[in-house]
Amino acid sequence: MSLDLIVLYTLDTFFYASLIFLIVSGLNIIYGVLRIVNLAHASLFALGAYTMAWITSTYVIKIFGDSLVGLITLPLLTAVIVTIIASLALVMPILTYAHGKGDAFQLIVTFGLLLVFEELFQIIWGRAPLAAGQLFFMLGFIDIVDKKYPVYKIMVIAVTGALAIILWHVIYRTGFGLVFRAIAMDPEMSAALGVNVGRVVVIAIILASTLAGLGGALYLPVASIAPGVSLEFLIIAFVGLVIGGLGSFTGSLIGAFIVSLFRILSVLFIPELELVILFAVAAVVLLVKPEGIGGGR
Amino acid sequence: MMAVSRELGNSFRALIAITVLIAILYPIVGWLRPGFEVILTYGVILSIAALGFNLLFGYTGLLSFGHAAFFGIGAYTIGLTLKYLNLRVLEAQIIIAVIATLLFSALIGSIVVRYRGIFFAILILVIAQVLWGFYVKFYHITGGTDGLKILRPIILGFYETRGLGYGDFNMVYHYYALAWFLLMTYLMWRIVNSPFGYTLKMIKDAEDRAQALGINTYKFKLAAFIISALYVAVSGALYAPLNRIVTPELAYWTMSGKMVFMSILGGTSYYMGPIVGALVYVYFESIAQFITVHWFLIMGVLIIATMFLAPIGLMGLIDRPGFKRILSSLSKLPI
Repeated sequence: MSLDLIVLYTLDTFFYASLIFLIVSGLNIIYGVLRIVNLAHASLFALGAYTMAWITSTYVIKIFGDSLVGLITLPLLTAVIVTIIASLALVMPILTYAHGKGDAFQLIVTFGLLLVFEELFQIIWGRAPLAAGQLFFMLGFIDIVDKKYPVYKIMVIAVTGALAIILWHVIYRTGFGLVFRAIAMDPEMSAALGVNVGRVVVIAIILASTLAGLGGALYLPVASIAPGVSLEFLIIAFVGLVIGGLGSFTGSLIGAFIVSLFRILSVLFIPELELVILFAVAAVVLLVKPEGIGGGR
Repeated sequence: MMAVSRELGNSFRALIAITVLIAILYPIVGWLRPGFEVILTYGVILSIAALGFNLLFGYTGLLSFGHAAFFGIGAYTIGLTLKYLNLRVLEAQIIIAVIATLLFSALIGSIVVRYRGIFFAILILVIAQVLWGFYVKFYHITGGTDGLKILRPIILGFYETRGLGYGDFNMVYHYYALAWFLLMTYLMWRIVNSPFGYTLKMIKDAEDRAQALGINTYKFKLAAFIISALYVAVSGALYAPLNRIVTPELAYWTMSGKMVFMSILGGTSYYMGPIVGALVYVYFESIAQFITVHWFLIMGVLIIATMFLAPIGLMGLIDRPGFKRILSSLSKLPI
């Protein structure tokens, strides 16, 4: 493979890794404070994408025309706000109730939530795929080693990179992060020492849904959203979670990167076996290092 | 006959009673509300799948979100043997489905039963999605989303069902499915009440202790996984001729969700739970479809509601003292 293609596929890997990181880090944040792996988390990603498609094609284009500022700010903001509202209204009550009730209970309840979301999307937005590529095309392409590469994807990589740094700073360098890590380590002791656990849980859920909703909104301009996409991303994100390690921030980064690397490679060479390869990677990592590459707290 | 448990949900009499009830109810339901009797047949068939699912979940403690994979193998074996081998003898087709499932589940199971909880649940879901993708993408083999048409089968090796009218076929097929139900439930009863079944329960409650006692829990979990897969595959194979078409939807993750729901609805800690759950489920679904096409929304809400309000399931509610006093007089009847 020539150099230009290698560069392009590397950028694509980073682009997918960014999207997957936005889901996996949210899964990890919720797992940190509640010890629940939320199967409906990728549905928030899908909700962000649906909102983005809907608001861009119905309102934003009519009001702002092809103004770039309007196209970027308004849909992304709306997508994040809608995701947060849905998360607080539907996800939070169920997660807090399921807290501490055992693996099977939590899995089944969040699976029920996944079904509810999937069907609600179809009621609101129908079964046909929705797309809104205006933002993608408006940003145009730049030349990278004789090939054209979309500016939009580079923008997404940059935004996610910045978010990852901010997130790292919040978790490891602020008072809130200290409390958050304390709860992840020992919730009872944190509560006994006077930490308001409930408040941290609410903030964690808002944070996680913001990341997922933003991920979905950023994903939409390059693709389309249809029923089944949330499950597809749930599986990919979960494989990333397994590879990186449950409840580890660096693990989210590593896992997201490895899973998208394998995804790009398999799409390049043997697209039919993409899921089989992801399955094999997850199974091997679980066998060799059950706590994940970035895990082992 | 067998050791009679104090719980109705775990008694052999209840199993006999429900089999008799299904046999008697068919003509009665058909007379009261024509068209509703075939739903009972679907319930009988799906209860075999739910029973298999629950051997893994309720008894062994492994929650699978991917059992639709085996349902799909069962159903597609019927479709593919018909398409390529022109085979219409249903028992022969079921035997092929069983062999295929045996090989596939042994291969997959040897990998996935090493893991527990969320890891097991999602790894098996990935496998199910792989198979679903296969049915959708390889349309020249599987018919894609249009699926495969299923002709009327020859049952018991000699009985040609092609000439039968719609109602007659449904009735014949109901009692045929009931015979399978009787066989499969009886075998399952023997399995869960054997030392093997008790070991599975022990693994669910305390796997570490089982290992400390020298039990190779991996082998037991693998065996439970394979048996469970076989039950689901038989159910899928029986489902195909009644449904008259096999589509990828039968192998989609929502199908796995149905099995989860049927089991928790009936009560996963009871032998009878998944059977009762499946029978109630099919009527829920068909009645709900008068109101809305978005059945999965209702199902999702019901899954959450069941887990929140009655995680013990319907059998658990029946086994509460109030119900028991009424039913104890009934269960003392010589059956």
